[in-house]
Amino acid sequence: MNEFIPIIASVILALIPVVIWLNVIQEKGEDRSIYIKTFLFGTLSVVPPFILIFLFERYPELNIYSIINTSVEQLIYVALLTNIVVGVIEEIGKNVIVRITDKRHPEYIQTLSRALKLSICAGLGFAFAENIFYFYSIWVNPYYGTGDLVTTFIFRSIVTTCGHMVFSGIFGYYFGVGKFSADITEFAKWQGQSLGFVRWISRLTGRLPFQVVREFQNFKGLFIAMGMHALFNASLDLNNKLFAIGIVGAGAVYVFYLMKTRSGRLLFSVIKRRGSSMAARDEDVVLELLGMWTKEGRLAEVMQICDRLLERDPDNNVVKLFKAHAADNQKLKEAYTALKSVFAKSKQQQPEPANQATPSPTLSLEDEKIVLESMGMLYKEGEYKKVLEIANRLMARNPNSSGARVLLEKALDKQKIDNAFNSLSKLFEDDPKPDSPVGV
Amino acid sequence: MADISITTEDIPSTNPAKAVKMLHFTGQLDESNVDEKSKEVYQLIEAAQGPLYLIFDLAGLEYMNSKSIGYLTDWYTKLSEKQGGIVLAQARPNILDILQVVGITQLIQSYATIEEAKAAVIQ
Repeated sequence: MNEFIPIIASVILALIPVVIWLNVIQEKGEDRSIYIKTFLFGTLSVVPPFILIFLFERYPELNIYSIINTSVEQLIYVALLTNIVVGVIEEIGKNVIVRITDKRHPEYIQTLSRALKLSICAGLGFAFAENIFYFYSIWVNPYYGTGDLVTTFIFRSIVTTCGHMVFSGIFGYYFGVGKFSADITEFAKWQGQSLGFVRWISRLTGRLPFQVVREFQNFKGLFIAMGMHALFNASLDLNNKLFAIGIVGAGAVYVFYLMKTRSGRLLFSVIKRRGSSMAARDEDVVLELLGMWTKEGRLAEVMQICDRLLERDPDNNVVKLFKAHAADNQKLKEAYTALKSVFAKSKQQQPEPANQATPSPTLSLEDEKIVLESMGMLYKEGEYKKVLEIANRLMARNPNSSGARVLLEKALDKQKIDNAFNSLSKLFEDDPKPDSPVGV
Repeated sequence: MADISITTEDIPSTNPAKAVKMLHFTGQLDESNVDEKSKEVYQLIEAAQGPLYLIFDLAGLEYMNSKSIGYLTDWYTKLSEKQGGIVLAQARPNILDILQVVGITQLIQSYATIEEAKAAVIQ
């Protein structure tokens, strides 16, 4: 009976991050069971790496890790090469799970965001199984104590589990792009992308261009995931935990952003598409214009045209993509402008001219002090807009008021930071999601 | 290369400070000719000393591509800066359909007949 305790305890420990992350991934109104099923299926993705380890032990001449260790001298290259192999094997394992899930239940993945989240669940499944193995090994090893178990639990639950989720999330997003490549290729075409390479491969292989794009996107996602995984593992092997955490952190921000984009939440699979009330040739002119104006950055106009075109052709995914893409880019543009203004050297703020026919009398020093005190209080309360207004009025009366100028500049800086923060938060805000699949 | 011809006609205006011209479009405006033909319209706009109003008679225009819509908005902006403008007349249903979806008709008025367009400009 006692030998089961470490196993049960390891399973319970490994379940803790799973429960937390599954709750984070699942959104209101979504069916939890598809995430749980994918997670459980994802635990099987540890099987291929374990089979390989078994084979390497049985046939040492095939053991690629030993081959690398004996043939490469420098530690950094050993770490990189070994972990490239690890990254390739583990990411392919998780990717296969997502592919099989999609093959069996194509209705699960109807948005890019859903492709990403299901892949995250597959990654979570892998991390869960791997964590059990690690926790158990430490638990039963007499050389390790409780402290080691706690440290490993914390690090693996937060960093390594997140790592697996992030890497899978990235290939998942591209898997989604591949799945909906027919619409996405059409969208790319209207944006003026030549797709010459795709056409060439298409002719060479006899496959349709969107099928080529599908495989290309899949490979691209896998390649990025494998690369990040290899870098992450190698950093840990080389004892550079900070770099490893940085990779996971940056990846998590990217994955979270992709999950929240309008394009990511766009519902692609509509079983029955309604027809367009516009002639195909005329609609093509509008699509061409959308591509042209998207490239020119006329995003507001693009969104307005899309709204009008969707009234005529409500199920056109390419138009929906144009609109979502413009909305995402608009948010990015706003965030970039707000960030740029924070770092831009602020020009000497000039007081706004007093909107009065006759100039107001100068304030006495005592009165100015009272106004400055009130401004200071407002500043502390975060009422920067009011501070700016009062400072402008005060400087119109007392142009040399150094107190007003200092507060004006400080409030201006704070307001810029607030604006940047608001714009950045908007990137990760949940949009109203009229396109989300219902009941799936 | 698709055929397109643009013929220009001066329209007498009651206001001497306001020049009015009518441009008759016949044929198809597409990638093969739009850049070349747009130059003629730009020349008219640049040559104008004061406010210039252009009436585009689109009765003979069978097709316009996206680039020509881009030019149309640019001509409108340039003329508006000079206190002038553009009005459209007799556009075919397919052309009007495109312009409505694109939102051009919110900026540029479109009239069913030449007389209505003239009346709107010369007042």
